[in-house]
Amino acid sequence: MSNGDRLSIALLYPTVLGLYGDRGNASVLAHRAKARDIDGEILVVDPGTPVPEHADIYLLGGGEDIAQTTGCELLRADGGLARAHARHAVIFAVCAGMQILGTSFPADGRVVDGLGLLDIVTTPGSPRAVGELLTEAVGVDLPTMTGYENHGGRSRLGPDLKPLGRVVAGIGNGVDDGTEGAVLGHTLATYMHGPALVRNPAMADLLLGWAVGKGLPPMDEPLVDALRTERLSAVRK
Amino acid sequence: MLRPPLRTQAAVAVGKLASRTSQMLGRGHGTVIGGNITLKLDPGALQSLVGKRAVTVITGTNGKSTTTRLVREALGSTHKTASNRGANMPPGLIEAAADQSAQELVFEVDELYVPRVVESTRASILVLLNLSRDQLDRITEIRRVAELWRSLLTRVDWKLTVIANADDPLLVWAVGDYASVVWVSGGYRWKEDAALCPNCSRVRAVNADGTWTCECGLNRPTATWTLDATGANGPHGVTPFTLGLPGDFNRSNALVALAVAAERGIDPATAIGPIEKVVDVSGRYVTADVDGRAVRLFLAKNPASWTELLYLLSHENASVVFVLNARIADGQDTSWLWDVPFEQAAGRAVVAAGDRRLDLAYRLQLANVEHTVAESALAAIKNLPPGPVELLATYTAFHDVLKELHVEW
Repeated sequence: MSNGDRLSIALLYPTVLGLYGDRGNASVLAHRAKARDIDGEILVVDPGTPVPEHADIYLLGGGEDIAQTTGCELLRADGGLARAHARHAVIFAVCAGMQILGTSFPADGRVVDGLGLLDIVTTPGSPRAVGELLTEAVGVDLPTMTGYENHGGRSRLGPDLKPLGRVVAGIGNGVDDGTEGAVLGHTLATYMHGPALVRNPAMADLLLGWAVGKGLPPMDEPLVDALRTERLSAVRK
Repeated sequence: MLRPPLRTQAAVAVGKLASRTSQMLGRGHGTVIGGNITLKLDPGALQSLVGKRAVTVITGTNGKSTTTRLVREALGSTHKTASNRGANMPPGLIEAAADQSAQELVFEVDELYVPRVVESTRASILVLLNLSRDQLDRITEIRRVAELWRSLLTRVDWKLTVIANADDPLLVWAVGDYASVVWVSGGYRWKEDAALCPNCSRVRAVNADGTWTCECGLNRPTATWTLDATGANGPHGVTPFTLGLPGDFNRSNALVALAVAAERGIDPATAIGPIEKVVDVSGRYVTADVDGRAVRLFLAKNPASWTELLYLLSHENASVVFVLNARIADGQDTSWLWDVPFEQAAGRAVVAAGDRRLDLAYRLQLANVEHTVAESALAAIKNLPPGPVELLATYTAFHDVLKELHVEW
């Protein structure tokens, strides 16, 4: 970890990119780190403050068009997230956050340049993808993933970019190849919006493992298991 | 009084019959079923039924039903007034509009139906309360709602007064340069949907006193109506009040009701009495007796309303029951739980219940709130230690609770 024994989690612009309870991801990461005796701190980065240079995990959430555009411009001007990506820090981006990491996305009828950290081109799509999203992992070793999506984008991954999952139910990237999300090195992106890590503890542990440089001991959370079972059966019904 | 056209009268008669049948079958108030049938038979029924009468339309994410009730009471102090109850899409308005004895009509209207209702009734007053994240699986984008209202106001070519919350930047932007506006400032705790200027997308600078300005020229307007510790300050001077309803948000709703009354020519000193007497609204704020326990019922729909209610409860010591459903009418996405400061509920007996109690339980766990989980609200209440209980429930959960506790609303 960059700061000795402390795991630092940077929650980027939650007032701008935090439309769907996205800050829940920071809570889940800190909670699961603590259960493994890893001290975590959540650095809330508001617009106007620099993106920290030495955080271990960077979280990017979702937002409406104007928030997405402004969030992207702020990140581009700051440059910190691109530097974090270059030094292989862990980045977890959901929904609009995923589109921002790509090369371009639509907002308010315009095409906006993304940060270009991932080879993803997002175009407007119809109908809007709204509802439960269920996927099986492709790019990483994870159990079935469950979340909720609400977006109007269709995201095509470049040939060298691996998807995070294959869609079982829902829309996901929505470009007829059945893909959902993307993985590149220690950057993980998904359309499972908001607090995606709540229902996907193994995904949280994957990010934590990348951040601390080793696998984590197993952790028993019957409540989360019950929540996952309930959501999976609700979608498969 | 002008009677509505025969076609409308016939359509209303058939609708009323359907409402009564639905009531007799125990399927609720039947208002929507009747209204739907009336509108099928006569699509122009709402317009015909309203005729030339003064209509006040009340909309916003939170406080619609309560403010509508308060305005109905305030206007009712001098004029016979009719309003809808809860059902706030066009079919839900038919029953109130069909009351030809009413001189004033007050409609709470779903955010997305505001243009249609305001234009078809040529409303006299449009009240814009607030706009925040709610049921995003249905509404998709908050800004889209603000755009709808902004566009509506550019088309208004009759005398319509807007009464709007000066503390909500989205509303200030939606009102734009519309000429006839009365600004009201009752305080507004939820700021999460207004970090950016809705006009130019810049990060908005907020001063310590809550006022704000943006480089692009969008500023917080000066409010004509404001609140202080004792009551309302308006063009008529100070109107002290003590409400029967709890919470800062209801003091703000009362302030809006006074502004509407004043706009309709009713002195605040006359209007305030009936407003103060309201103690519950369609089941909200009712205290029910459950095996000797006093259980106060709150409807909590979205992060802004949960935030206001948790703040209210943090000043009391009662046990609390949270009931979470995520059916269509609640919004099917529970992500918003993580936007709500549940941390404030720590230090008392807390129970999580409802269809989605597991989502809630995990949120409470990570907020370090000790709690138990119960299948139903009733079971939750019975498991609590003796003493008063505050119950917060989402829309469908709230109506299930009313039914289970036999609360008439």
